[in-house]
Amino acid sequence: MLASARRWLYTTNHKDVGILYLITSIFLFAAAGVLALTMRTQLSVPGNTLLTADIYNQFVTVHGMLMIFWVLSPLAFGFANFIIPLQIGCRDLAFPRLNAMSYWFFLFSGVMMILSFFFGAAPDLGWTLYSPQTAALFTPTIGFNLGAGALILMTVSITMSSVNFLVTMLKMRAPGLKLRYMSVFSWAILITIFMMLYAFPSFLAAVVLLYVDRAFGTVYFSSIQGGSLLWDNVFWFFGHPEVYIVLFPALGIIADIIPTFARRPLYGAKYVIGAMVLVAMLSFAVWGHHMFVTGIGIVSTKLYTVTTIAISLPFDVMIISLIETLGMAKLRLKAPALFALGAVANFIVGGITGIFLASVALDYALRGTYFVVAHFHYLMVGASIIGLIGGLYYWFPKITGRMYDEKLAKIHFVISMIGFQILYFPMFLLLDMPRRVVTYTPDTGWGLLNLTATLGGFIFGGAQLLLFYNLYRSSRIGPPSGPNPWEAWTLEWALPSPPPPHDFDVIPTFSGDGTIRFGTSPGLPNGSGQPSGIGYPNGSSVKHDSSLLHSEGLSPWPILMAFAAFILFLGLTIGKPANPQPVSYQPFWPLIADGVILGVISLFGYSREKFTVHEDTHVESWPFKQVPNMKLGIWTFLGAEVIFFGVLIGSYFFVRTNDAAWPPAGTLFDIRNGFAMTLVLLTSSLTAIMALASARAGNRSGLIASLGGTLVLGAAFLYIKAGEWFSLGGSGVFQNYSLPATSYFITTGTHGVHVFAGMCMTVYLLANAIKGKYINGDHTALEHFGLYWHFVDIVWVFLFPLFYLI
Amino acid sequence: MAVSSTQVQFDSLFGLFTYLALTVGIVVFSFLIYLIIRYREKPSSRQPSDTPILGRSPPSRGHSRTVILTLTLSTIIIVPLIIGSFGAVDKILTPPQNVCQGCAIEVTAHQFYWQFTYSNGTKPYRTVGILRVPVEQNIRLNVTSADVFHDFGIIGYDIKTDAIPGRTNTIWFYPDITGNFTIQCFELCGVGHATMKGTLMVMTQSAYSAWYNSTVVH
Repeated sequence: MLASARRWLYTTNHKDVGILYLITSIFLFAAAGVLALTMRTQLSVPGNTLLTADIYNQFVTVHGMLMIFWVLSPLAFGFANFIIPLQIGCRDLAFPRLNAMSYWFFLFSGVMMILSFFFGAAPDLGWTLYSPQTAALFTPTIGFNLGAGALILMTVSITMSSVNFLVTMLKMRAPGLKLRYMSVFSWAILITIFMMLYAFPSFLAAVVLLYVDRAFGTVYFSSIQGGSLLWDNVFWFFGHPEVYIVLFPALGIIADIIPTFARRPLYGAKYVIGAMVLVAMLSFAVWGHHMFVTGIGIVSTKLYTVTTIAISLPFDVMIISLIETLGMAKLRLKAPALFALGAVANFIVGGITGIFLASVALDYALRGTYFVVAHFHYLMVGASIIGLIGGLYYWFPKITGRMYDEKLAKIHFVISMIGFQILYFPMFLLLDMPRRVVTYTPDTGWGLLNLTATLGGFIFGGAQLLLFYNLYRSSRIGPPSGPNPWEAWTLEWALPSPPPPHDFDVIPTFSGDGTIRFGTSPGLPNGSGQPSGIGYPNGSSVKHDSSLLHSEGLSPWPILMAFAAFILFLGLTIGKPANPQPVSYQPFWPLIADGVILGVISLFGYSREKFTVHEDTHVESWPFKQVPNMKLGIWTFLGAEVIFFGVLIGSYFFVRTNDAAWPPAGTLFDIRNGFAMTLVLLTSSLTAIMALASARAGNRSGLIASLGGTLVLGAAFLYIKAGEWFSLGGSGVFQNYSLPATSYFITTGTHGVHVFAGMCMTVYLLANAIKGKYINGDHTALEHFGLYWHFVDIVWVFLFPLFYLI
Repeated sequence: MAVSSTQVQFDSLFGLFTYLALTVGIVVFSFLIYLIIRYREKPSSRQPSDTPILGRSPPSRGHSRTVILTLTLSTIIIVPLIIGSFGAVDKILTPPQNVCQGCAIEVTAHQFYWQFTYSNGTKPYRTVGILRVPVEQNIRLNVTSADVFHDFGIIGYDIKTDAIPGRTNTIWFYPDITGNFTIQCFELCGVGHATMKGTLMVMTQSAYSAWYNSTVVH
């Protein structure tokens, strides 16, 4: 019992982490579903008083946030965790402990979001959090503080995951597995990761700005110059790609399931993948359609109408290819296939109605109505959730080694689909009813359609109990499934069900003629899934060579680190509610101290732990053959940082161009300070380079001197910065120049935090250097630090002219 | 009978979209259902010749001409939708320059009510909750907000615009019949969102003139 608890808490194995993701998100799916059913009950008849407006608004918000961030994506990434390494033939993700940490950050962020109910008030403005109502002036409760904390933790989790998966998929594919031979599911995840990598930093920046507005009295979103449109732009730049982030994994699953059960290869697989890539790129150019009636101008709205309608074209290619796959097929209508086909059907309806909303002219009528609600639920529930449920049934035998109850699953499908249509179709007809209203009057005539929808809601919700029951019961007493019950052909089915901890005894090799070899044996016996077991790559013998070590690796540090962050963010967010006056904010210091101490301990433990991840050298790693995993990870992370700072700088431009009364250059910030800081920081880049050069040359004292120099220069930078901050703070700059002060303190403050983090790394490196490390060819850590440090310097090179010179 | 010119325009564009959507939907769904029924596994089903096997990469399949055909057909369908939308939005976003006296009204959203300001005489005249307009005249509204993000919409008129603090968005319409219509907020703005309503009172021109003149403040 204790051993089992320890295993699940400390695991770093991708399959265990995947299962944790799946189970957690299923629980949260149920929780968010209960919120939805309560809201549907409230709306079933006009004038209902089951929920107050206050509670209703909290339910609307938490339902949306949970479903989007804590159900759809994690459910998909549960599969990705479990299946992707098996499909691409590697034994784990590139950074197993980071992967575990992603999960725990995700879990604690979800706990934090739900905790907000118990601290008196959850966020209550819908998941879109439109400004300026999120300002403390309008919403003084701690709901948005906690909500912002939860969203920041969640974004951290997503960023860690994206980096991890990207490195894994680009660097660790089985030998010969070219990118173009990957299954569509793997491709869908890869593309999703790219979108996450570039969309979530924008969201992180938005939420961080929201938090500091509330906590420290800055005025990004409460000022007229920033305000509603700044939030709209930053939020929807993230928000529209997010729609595809929650959709693509399900599409990938569907595109794996349908061919398997149709017994034919996917029609036009390369076009489907190409279409996905196209959608991912276009998704960053359509966000304006969420702002059609904000008054962004006739040219912009027309442009966004065209891009948004045009994004339907690649989707047409995907859908036609999926349908075309059924031609001349031998379609086995098992539960996964039914759910996949049901998802396609719902997707068609959701997609077509999306075209309506892409038209700016129709949006002038449909904006904010239940037509919108119907449209996106057809996609998020009808396509994503139904498709993901298909994935649950499809991979259930692989994950548990047992077969689910097929008959029950089919009943579940029929009731789900019928309930779904009764639930959401009436909402298309409610195209005059505003979204997110707690109630409506009888004279509107909306009663019958709402009652129907509520009825459908209970049918759909009730049907999911069959799913939970089926999964729970079958995982205990279901008949053994064998390794490949579906006679599928993607690589995960070559392993026993469930796969052993280390997955592959022998890493498979893809050869040019399309055969897959395990060691010396040419392929599988016949690939038809004969349960004889002869020739399967995994026998019962588990080899204990060094490359398998981490498959059993347990580490306590990921969960501790996440817990520390959780406590720290609780301390930051449950302090005294913010007031427009910055000085009145009182963080909850005991918790902050607790979080920091725990964080330092776990960081220390994490870095000292002997946890080796074997890097296979003979792998397919185009296009980054020469780049080690860690370095690619840092590059990827810095890519996300570029977006983050880009959004901060973009926000600065936005408020500045909207503010006629901006003080001219040189009046507010002393150019001498800026110049001095620039020189100091550029010099520190030089010492960082010298540190690496000394390490390469084996020169210990040179290394120590250069690192020490870097540290001193970093400190000098922060010293000047702090002096400037205090003199500005003392001069009442906030009272006189609220927006210039806001953008200055936040942008340079965020940069300062990065400098400080870099100095912490320098201290760590210096301590190791004094002990004699890094001079014997083991200097990669210095290289990685250098990348980060140069990046931080480059950011300053942008900030200096923006604040001091122009 | 349509209540306003904007509604007529919405109805015809919405009709075009719905017509094409139904056509596409029916064709695609028929295709999907036909294939499912035709090719579901039966004792008489033939084994497809290209079923991939585990241990080999699945063979490539599919023609670029299908993609080209799909894209061509889709483009043919979406072009009229884009053109129709452009025409309609040009109308929506080009408010008439000259409207009758008392037909240009400032709308200010508050938590949780609507305030309408008429420029009459030397002082503005304000009403709360009731927007009086004459029938068969172009009405121009300048919409803004005094506090948070709202959205001004008239149910049945199929026209709305965001009410954003610090910004003014202009919409216009031409009421065809007299009567009362519901004004409602369409963006969640707090606990009073559901009840943030008003009344659009479309009056005969003579009744409107009588009311308007009675408000004159000299």
